[in-house]
Amino acid sequence: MASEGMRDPKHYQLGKTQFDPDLIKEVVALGGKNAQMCYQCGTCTASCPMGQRSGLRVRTVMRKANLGMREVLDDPDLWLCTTCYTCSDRCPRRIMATDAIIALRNIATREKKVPMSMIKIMGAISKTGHGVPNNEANMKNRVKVGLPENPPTTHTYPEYIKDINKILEVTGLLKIREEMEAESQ
Amino acid sequence: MDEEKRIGVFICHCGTNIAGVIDVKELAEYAKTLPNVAHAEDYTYVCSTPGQTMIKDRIKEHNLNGTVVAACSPRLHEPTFRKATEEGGVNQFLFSMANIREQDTWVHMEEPEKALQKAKDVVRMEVARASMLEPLTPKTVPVEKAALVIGAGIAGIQASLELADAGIKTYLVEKEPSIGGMMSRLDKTFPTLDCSQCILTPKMVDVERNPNIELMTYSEVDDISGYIGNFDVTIREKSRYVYEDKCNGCGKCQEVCPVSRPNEFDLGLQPRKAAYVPFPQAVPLKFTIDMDSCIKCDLCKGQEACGDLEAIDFDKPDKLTTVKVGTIIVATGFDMYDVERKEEWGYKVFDNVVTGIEFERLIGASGPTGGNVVRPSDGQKPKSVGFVLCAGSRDQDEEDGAKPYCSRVCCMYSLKHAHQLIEKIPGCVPYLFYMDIRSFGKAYEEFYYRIQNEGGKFIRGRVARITEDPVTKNLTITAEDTLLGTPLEMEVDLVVLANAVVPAESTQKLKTLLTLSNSPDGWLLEAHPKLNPMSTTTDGVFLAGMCQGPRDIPDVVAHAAAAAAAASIPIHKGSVTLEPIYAIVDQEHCGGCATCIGVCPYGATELNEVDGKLVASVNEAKCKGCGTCGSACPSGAIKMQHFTNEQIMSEIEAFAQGW
Amino acid sequence: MKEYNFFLGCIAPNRYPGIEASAVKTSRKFDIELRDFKGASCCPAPGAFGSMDVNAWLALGARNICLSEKEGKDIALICNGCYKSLFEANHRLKADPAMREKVNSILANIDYEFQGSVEVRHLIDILYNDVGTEKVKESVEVPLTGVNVAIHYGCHLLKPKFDRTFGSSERPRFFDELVEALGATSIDYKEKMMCCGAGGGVRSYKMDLALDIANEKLYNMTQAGADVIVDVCPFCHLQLDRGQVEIKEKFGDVYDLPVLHYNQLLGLAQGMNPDELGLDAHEISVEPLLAKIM
Repeated sequence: MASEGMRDPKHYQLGKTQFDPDLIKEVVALGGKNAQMCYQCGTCTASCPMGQRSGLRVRTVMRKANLGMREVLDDPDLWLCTTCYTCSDRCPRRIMATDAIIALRNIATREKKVPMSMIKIMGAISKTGHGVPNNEANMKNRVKVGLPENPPTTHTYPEYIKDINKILEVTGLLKIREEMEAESQ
Repeated sequence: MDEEKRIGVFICHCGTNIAGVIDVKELAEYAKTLPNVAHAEDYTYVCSTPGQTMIKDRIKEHNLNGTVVAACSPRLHEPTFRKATEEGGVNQFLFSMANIREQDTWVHMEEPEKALQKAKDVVRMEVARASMLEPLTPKTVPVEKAALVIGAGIAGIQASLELADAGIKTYLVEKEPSIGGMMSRLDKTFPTLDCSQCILTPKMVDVERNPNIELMTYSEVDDISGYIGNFDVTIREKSRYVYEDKCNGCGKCQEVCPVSRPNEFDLGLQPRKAAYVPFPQAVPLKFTIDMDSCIKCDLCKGQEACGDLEAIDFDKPDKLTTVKVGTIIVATGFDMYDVERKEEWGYKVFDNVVTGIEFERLIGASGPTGGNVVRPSDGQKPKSVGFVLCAGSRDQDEEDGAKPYCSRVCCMYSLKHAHQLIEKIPGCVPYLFYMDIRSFGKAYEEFYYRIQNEGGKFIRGRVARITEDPVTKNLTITAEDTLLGTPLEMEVDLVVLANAVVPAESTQKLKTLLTLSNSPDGWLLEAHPKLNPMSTTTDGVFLAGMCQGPRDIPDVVAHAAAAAAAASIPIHKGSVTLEPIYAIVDQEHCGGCATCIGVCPYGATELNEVDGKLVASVNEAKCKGCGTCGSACPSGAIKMQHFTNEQIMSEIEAFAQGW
Repeated sequence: MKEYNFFLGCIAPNRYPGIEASAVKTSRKFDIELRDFKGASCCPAPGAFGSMDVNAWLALGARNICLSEKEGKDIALICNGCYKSLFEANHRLKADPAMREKVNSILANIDYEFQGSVEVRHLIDILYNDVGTEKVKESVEVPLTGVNVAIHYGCHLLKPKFDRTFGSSERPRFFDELVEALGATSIDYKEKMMCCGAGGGVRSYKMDLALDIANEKLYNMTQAGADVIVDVCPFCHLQLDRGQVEIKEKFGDVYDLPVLHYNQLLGLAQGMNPDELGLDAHEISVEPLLAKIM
């Protein structure tokens, strides 16, 4: 027989080739405080509103991060966390699980595994300074309550937008957006 | 110095602890260049038997009259090297120790050159000091043939019985009106399912009967002074407002008393009267009047009640007694974590959430429900019960008062509770929500097997939160079944929180009186966690039971017996040797100003008239050599033995020479 | 007269201007002036944007704070999301020198430097702790007697508790007390402390799932007899108000439960006109509530 036969290397070889010990360190460095201390009690999953209506299992995400299974970065459910922080508040090991998820999202973003919906929000900020920009209908409503058509933000002072873009540029986010928008054509 | 000083310096490698960081040979060579050093060498383990023999041999070979060992902390081997020096024929107080491990190589591992320089500085300083040391004689003091045990739960009871049976008069002080502690609140004990009161009360009765035990209940230690062999203890026997020698425990006062209060023994689940005993098997069976609640109606004094016996006196004061003891055992037990601070579990908000100890009272025959486990909201028997393990234990959330340690007993008592439910309520299903099941002791794993076999259900997932149905008052537990990988919600009739055990509040005051410390986890600090868990670093003071850390009953009993054994040694020996590190007053130069009287924290100095002049003197046994009087004396008339000004200055000058 | 730079965020000024206007108007009654904050931008959205790069998130938040530092004014805001971005950025950069250095190295590219010289406050914190429920009660001209309010605290106001000043997030009372000070009744309902579902970028990523969470909340609120939902976050506000329209489309459930930001409810209780509070711009009609009050 061939060397593996019907044995699934993804499972039986787990550990030999699939664990990256640096992953958890990256997660902690990006804000996932105490993430390496997880003892898999499941308080997080039980606290999660998304856990009841999707495949998101916070505990499993923490397990994969701890073992160093980079496949967690490809998990579409990683983006279902609403960042409600209930898990982080209740964790008995004081792990900021929400921030660990955000850290994994950060790492995934660098590998261009971020959903386009996020990129679009970045686009709006890059263009107008606002993630949710003003529109015609709203301008009328503003005037009705005695406010000027535009708020005194970057909408009235667009000269500040270039500063915002500079920050997006030096942090590498603009580049990611450019590449991803190009690839999606 | 009369004699020429000939000092031997021994540099220890301590394996690689020291030699792995600094060049010990170079250090030994350096030592040879120091003034007054007649010999220096390095060796792998100076504390070993050949190492100690080496010290003795070199003393003879080189005619040494002083020794310095450069090694670990004096806390570890100062006694070892002092003994070796003495056996080599040199007074042990002519030995000085240089710590080049804990204070050098262990903390400067990354900078070996600087560590070596520091080691040279330290050795140079200790050689200078050793050159100035004087021979001293240790003082022997007699040991009072009596012991004090503070706390009369199972730990204090066991310790005092062992001491008393060994022929030692023992004062057993308990702050509650009865002895018995937490164990007397339990229904059954794991894994044997012995009835707790049934195995405890014989010991309680033994305590009361034992001629060597003087039992002082409803009493607290007010003050302790002195030192090993000679402790002066002031005990406050709080007034029961009842003459114990007249009270015969008939209970008529309780019958007529109109005032009801929540019974502390039953955790408030059952009432008691203002005139009460905490539970029927109380030892001693003497009634107490809770004066805070008493309305002074005098019914208890009436003819139908205490009348003829005249045992009740509302004006009876507290009694202060001072006793002298040789050793002290602290056995003050524990409190339970205030789990209402973990708001996610709803304790004290939802009716049907109780703690493990409250469950014990519910299932106990003498408890508020006569042994029936019922829901507080409606008195119904529960058909499904959820157990929350690790409620406040293994938890880093200090702000909520939760504890990082494992409370050790809760897995086992939750299994026990599960068994009791299965036995008493046919069809009742217990669900244990756990992270781990720690069934570590003798017959404990077999007990876990038994409960699983009997129908206990185990869900591996820590309970995230509990909600209540406002109508039925049923609870819904939210947890993840981590083994299935699914979050689940389970409705149960009753929830039992296995809440953490925490250090007792009441132990705080004793810590100051006995100069005891805490471990980082808040329990009392032992002398050594592995090799001496029953002693403390305060000579003559020992620890028994939970006050040192969470443990189950067999371990409490073993620990208490160990404490009793350790506490009996100085008493049986009859005397104890004290280090001659104390202050001495030069009465020629003493001005009688009494500054030293005011500053001594141990009350060891006194002023007396000698040849028509008021001069100070020091009680060598009480003096702990702290140096406060030595530095405060405006005339410079006080000398600190083994730490004289000259000896300390020589160290400082030696240090400065290197710069 | 206490002055704050009024940080607006995005949803309030650009979708629910009534929230912005009511905050300014009701604050004046307590001698608080919420002034125009020139040049502010998106906070940036902590979930949607922070998920991509936490350093950029901190830097853009710090940029907003720097603008206020230049004027020497504290910042007041009316959105939980903006609160997370600005309060946390302010707090962390003040406390952690390494993080401050990192963010300042990014800001150096635009010649800004975070000093840590101002405070960031949520208006509900100012109302509860500085003004107090007694003064709020005194300002009431139209007591909201008989109005059952389903309070939605939201998430980023309270959590993570270690990084906030309000204590436990399980059963808080301060928002309830502020609503009760208006004469209304704060009702208990199942899963009161649950998230609205919008955050973390989920509303744009998987709207169905986000709305399902809101749907559960709306159902529970209705079951408990709510007349109105009150929030302190325009994003939760959007999710619960516009969300009802979307829920009706996708799932067919109808609640017709009006949604108000606290400042709008406060304005009504202070006798202001519903139109000047921008209530007519809401997706779900506020008429049933107004009928109950007037």
